[in-house]
Amino acid sequence: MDITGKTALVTGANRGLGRQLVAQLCDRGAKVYAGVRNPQSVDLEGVTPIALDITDPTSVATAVDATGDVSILINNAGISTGTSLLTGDLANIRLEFDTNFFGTLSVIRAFAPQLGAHEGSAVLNILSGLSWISFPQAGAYCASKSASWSLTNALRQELAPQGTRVSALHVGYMDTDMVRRIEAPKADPADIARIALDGIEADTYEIIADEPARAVLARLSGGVAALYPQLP
Amino acid sequence: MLSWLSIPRSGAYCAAKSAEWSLTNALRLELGPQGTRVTALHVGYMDTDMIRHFDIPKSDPAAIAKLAIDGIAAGDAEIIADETSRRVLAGLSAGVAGLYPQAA
Repeated sequence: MDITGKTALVTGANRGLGRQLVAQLCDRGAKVYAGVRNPQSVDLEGVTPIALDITDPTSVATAVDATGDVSILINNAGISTGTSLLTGDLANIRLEFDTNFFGTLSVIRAFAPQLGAHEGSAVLNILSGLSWISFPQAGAYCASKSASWSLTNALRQELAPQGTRVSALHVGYMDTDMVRRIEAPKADPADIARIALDGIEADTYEIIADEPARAVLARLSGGVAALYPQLP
Repeated sequence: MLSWLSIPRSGAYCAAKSAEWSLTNALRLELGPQGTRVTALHVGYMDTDMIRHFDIPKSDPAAIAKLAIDGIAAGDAEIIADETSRRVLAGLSAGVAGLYPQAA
């Protein structure tokens, strides 16, 4: 789909990848709503900040009423608390699912009629290579992204009849606040945002944005032995 | 098998199983050091109450139970219990195009 002239909503839009997506959607001629918990945190010119806490159904419903013309929805908002499923705080595990899975789901459900009002529309969920491979130190995050991968695959089929294309972007580490404490090679979120928008314009269902995500996908069919070679 | 493939009419079940697949992979690594082996069994439809309303080929739960126990005895990390699951696993690395050929 051509982004020029479309109206887009990006969640988690004030920093990291979300901020880059907003800036580049503007550059490509879209009208952009920047969905954030605190609208004053949006520092980009020419966009419309909109209060949106994806974990709060009332906030989501208010955002639906405040927009009306969205045909590109990018679910970028997410949280990572670095919680082990075995020993971590259950409240953190629930928070990750409430945000990454249920939050994304509730935004898509709420905006589906608005998206369907256009001849063509798009949803992009920002996922991760961790949808497919689990790191125990971030086990809750990984499981929430696995569930979100499944959600993406279901909703793609359910929204296709109304002309809404649902896609997912998988990426490894990006140089953003979320992983600022992790020492690892990180992709530039500006590059990933460009790949994401190119993917929307090319009608790609699955956008594999970097080499780590590509490597994990390539190993998936090999099962546990291929994904976790460190196991005895 | 629905850990890997989503069927919209059971979308919630599939998403829960995807999360459980990830959980299995995390806890296998975390419990390994204490000598606990964590295994997952993946299977398609079995002839049980859960899907009694589905009119499709179903495997015998007695046969699947045997494969499960054989897998534990053999120390398998992943037990792929039927042909349907094996096919889905084989399609995983091809992504959406491999798993959902109907998607245009």
